Amino acid sequence: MQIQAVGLSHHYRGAEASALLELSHTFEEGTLTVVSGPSGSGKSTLLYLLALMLTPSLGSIRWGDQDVQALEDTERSELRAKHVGFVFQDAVLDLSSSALDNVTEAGWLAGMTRVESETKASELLEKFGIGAKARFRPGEVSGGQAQRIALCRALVKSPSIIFADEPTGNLDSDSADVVWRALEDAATEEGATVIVATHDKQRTKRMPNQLRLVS
Amino acid sequence: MNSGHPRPGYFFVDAIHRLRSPLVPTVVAVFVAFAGTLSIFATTGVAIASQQRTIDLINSAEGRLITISDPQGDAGLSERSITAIKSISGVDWVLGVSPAHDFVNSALPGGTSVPVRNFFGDLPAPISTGHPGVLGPGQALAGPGVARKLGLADGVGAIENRTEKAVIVGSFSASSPLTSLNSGVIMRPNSDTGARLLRFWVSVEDVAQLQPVAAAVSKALVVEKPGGIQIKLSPDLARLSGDVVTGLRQDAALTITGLLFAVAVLIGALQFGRVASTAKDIGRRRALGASRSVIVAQVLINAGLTGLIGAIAGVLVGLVLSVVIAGQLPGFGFSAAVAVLMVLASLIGAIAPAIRAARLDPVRILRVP
Repeated sequence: MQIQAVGLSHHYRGAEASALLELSHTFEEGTLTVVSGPSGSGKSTLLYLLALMLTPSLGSIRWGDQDVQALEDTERSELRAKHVGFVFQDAVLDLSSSALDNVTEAGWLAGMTRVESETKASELLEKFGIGAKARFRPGEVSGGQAQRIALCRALVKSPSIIFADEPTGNLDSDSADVVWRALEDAATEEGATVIVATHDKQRTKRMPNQLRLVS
Repeated sequence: MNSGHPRPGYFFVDAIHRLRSPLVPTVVAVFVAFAGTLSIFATTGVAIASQQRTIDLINSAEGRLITISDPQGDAGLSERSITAIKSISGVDWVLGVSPAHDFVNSALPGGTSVPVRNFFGDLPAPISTGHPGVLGPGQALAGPGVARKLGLADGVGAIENRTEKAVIVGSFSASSPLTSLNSGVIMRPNSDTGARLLRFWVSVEDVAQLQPVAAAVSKALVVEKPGGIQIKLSPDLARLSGDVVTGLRQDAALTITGLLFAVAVLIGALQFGRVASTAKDIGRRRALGASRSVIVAQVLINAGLTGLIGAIAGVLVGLVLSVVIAGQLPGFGFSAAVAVLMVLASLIGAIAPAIRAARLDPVRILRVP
C-alpha cells in the first residue's frame, strides 16, 4: 500500500520547536525506505504519524486512496490492527506472556482466530530460529531473540505496512542482519511498504530508498 | 483480509491471563469484593435471617387465625357460612363446630359422658388423625384418652345420647390453635342442612392478608343476628410483621449502599494502580491496533471478574456465617442480589480507571528518549 505524506508537520504540546516540519514524501508499495537523520530530527515522530498513533498538526497522510489523518480513533485503530506491523527499538513485549503468546496477540487484535494466529506465530518463530523458545517469556531470552519475537509479532498478520523504529539499535551484528533481511524480504517478497527509522549509516548505505531528515 | 476487530475469544483468554498478571492487584481486588460481600452478610444477611425467623413466628398458625363465635348461642350462625368463606381468596382452611352435646357409650348407658361436637368443613392440618379417608355422616373421632373414658377398649364403637347416635371410628389429636377440641369427640353430622355453629376458625395463608380476609369473612357470614357474632384476630401481629419487613428494608438499603460505595471506591483505587503499573502493556496493545473501547472493555472485564470471584466466595462464606449466627439462611434472592450488586459495584468503580487507560498516549509511553 502506498503511503503519501503531504506537508506534514507535528508540534508536541509544550515543546519549543516542531518535531517535524512540512515533510512531503511518497513511500511506494513493495519498497523499504530508510528514514535517517540525527537525534531529534523527527524520525520516530514521522513513523508514529504515518502509523496513525499521532495526529499531525498540519498536513495530510494518505494510505492508498484513503485520507487517514482525520479519522476517529476507532477507525485509526482498526486500520492499524488490519494493516500495520510495528517493530520498536526495545521490542516492547508483554513480559508475563510467552514468546508465542506475544506474537499471537497481534494476530488476535487484527481479527485472526486463535488457531490461525498461533499457527502463523509458530511458523514465524521457527523461521527466525527461536521456535525452541516459543514457551519462554521475554525475560528468559536474549535481547536479540526478544527483538526477533517482536519482528514475528509485526509479521504475524501479514501486514501491508511495516514500521520499524531503530529495530537494530540494541542488537549485535548477527541479530541485526536477521532483522534487516526479514524487513527487506517483507518488502520484496510480500509487497509490504516498509519504513525503517535508523541511525545505522553503514548498513543503510546500500539501500536504494532513503529519506534523510534534518534537525 | 483481517477484520481489524478482536474476536470475543480474545477478551476471554486475555481476561484470564490478566487475572494472573499482575497477581497482587487481582488478589487484593478479589479480597475487597469478598470482604464487602461478607460484610453485607454479617450485617444485613444475618439481620434478614433473624428477622425472617421472627416473621415466621408471627406468621405461625395462631397469628394467621380469625375466630368467629356466637358466645350467647342465639345469633343463628349458619353452617352455610363455611362454603361462602372457603371461596375467599387467601383463605387456607375453615373449620366450624356446633355446640357440644353429651354422649355415652351405647354399650354402657350409665357410663361416663363426653362432649361431642359436630364439625363442618375439612379437617385442617392442626388436627392429625390415624383414620384413613374422609369421615362419613355419623362417624366420629375421639380426642386423646376420650375413648378410654367412654369405656371403648378398642378405641372404636357406638355412642349415643337421647336424640342421636354416632360411631367412633378412630382418634385424633389437635394442635394449636384447636387444642380445645382434644377433650371431646368431633363428629361428621348426619345432616348439614340448617345446622347452627357455635364457633368457627378461619386460617389465612399469610399474616399480611389477615385484615382484608377478616373484612371479607365478615361480609360472607350467613347469620340471623349479626350483632351477636364476635370476630377475633391478631391485628398487632400483622402490623408487627409489616413493621419488621419495612424496618428491615430501610436498614438493609442503607447498609448495603454504604458497603457497595466503599467497595466501588476501593476497586477504583486498585484499578487506577493497575492501569499505572501496566501502562506499557496498554501502550503496546494500542500500538498493535487495540481501540480505546477494547482497552475499556479489558479493564472492565478484569474488574467484573475479580468482583465476581470475590462475590461468589463471599456469598458462600456468608451463607455459612448466617447459619452459624442466625440459624437460618437469608434466601437465594438475597444472596444472588448481593453477588450481582458486588459485581456492579466493581464495574462502576472501574469505569474511571478504564477511561484513564483508554486515554493513555501510546506514543508517550513507547517512545525511547
